Amino acid sequence: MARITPDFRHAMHWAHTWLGVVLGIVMFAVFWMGTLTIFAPEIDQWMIPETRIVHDERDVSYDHLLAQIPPEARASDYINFVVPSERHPAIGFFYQGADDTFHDNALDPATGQPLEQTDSLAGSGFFYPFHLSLMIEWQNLGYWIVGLAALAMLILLVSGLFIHRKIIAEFFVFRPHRKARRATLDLHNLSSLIGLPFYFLMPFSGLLIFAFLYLPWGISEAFDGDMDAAYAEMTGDYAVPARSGRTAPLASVDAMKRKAEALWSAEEGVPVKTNLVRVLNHGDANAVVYFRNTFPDDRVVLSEYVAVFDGPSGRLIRNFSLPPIGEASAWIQGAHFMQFGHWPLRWLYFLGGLGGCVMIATGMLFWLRSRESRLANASLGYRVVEALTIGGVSGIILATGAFLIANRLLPADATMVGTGRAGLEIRVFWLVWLGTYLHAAILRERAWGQQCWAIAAAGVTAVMLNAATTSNNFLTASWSGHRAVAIMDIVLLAGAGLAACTAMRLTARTDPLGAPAALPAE
Amino acid sequence: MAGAIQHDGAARIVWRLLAGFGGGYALVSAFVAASGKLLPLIGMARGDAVSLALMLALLVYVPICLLMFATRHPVRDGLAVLAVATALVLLARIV
Repeated sequence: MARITPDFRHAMHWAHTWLGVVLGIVMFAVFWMGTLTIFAPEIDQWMIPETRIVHDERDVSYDHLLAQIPPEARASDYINFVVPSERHPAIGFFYQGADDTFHDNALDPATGQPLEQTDSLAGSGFFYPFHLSLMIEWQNLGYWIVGLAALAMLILLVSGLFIHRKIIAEFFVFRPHRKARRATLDLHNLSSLIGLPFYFLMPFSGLLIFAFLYLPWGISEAFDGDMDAAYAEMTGDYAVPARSGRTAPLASVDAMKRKAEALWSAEEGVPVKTNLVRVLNHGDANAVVYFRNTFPDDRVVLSEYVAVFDGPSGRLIRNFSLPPIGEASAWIQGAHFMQFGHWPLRWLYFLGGLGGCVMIATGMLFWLRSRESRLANASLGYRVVEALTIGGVSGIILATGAFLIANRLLPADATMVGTGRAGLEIRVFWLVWLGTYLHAAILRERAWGQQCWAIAAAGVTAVMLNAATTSNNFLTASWSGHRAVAIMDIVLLAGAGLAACTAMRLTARTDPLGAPAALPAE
Repeated sequence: MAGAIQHDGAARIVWRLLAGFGGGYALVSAFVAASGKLLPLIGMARGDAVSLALMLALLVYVPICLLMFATRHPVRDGLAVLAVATALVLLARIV
């Protein structure tokens, strides 16, 4: 039987160490923002108080909505409605304007009227894209950086398994009162093993979700270079013809929706609802109406069915359901998106995400602790990694708190140098994050404690500002049915408490140099 | 031990990274293309063939990267990765 040689173990240790040091900050940022994204709809309700609507199971008439949307939207080639649900109680409404800009609104499900909402990208518009692309849109560079970090994470997980000789024994060993270096490694091992399947699933499924971006040649080559054909066969996309220039009234969208759901339900054997209603070329003879069950509430799988209807006649022109292997792939992707209705699992995902953050942070911290006595005062590289670690871990958490505070403090009509309110919130995030790196570079080890105190203060401040600037605080919110707001406040307070405890421990710590003779990961 | 990554100079480490991440990317991309062309020949739908190849791609990519970190013959093994990638590209183009 092949044995793991010391040589191989050293090579894995080398890869584990340096991939972690180089990409650890990106991995932490992605995991942190991904963890927040699990509750993005709830964060949206907290940050955009006008969308704090108590959901009821009323049937929305899309014929009625189409009749009352603004004329510019009706003339659009692309009108998109997201069906309201418990977690997204407002109707999502997007359309492409004549100048090709996308307009994003929320409609009141009771009246169909646009909600006058706070200008904020909130969780779905900031935390979610940040964890995909770091908000670096140029040439999709951010997506590639995140993709590389995801691949590196898989390599780190596998190499980590090879490094540890007694991995099961190490799982049961956590000695928080030992020297800081030993305790850091124990916590790294514990947090790594406890969520290992989850940590494999997240980067694997994340890379799979963006396969069309990451492997365009490989996919299109299989379809003789025709990427549209690949999308059509694998995702049910429909190539919509251009406007004909001939006007034609649209048949009943509600009737088409009922027909699509009846078809899908018959195929599945259980009721299947549509999540997305899209009208293309509205008012034209080439109008098309497109329905998709993007996020089923009762199944993990993603975008199982697509139905496309001819707009003027209401005739079904395409009924797509995922083929068997496509369904397996969509299941893995659905496990990443976690949009199905399972609250205990959602909280487990949240804990898994935080566990991943702990694993990454303790890994970076252990690198510092292992070299502290040799390099702390002599090496510029050490100081750079130290500042990046502090800013990348506690700094991004503090910047997130500042983002929430800015959301509650900025006036509704705030603008600065051509940047609107939503943009200003994001500027606050970046400025505070940058500030934490500078703070860490100057104060070094002491910055940990101070930034933890700042996180605690930010959490409490955000909760107080929510109570002061909206009609809900965490007590009244739960009574009035706004559970998302109440839970968000409670999580903020719990996070503030945890940050304060950490700050106290860090401030009290007097022995930063713990150096046992030999550690298994060295 | 001679040849191990921890004793490598910068040039060999850069080669390992390029061969692992870059060569691995080329190989995986070619693997998806070739699978998408070959599997339909035995009756699998083309979309399913590509979906299957995409799911398997990471099971190919990660070991290639690990191999390039671990090998004591990075030049030989890196060239082998590139050779397999080239062969798969040719296969995808010929079929």
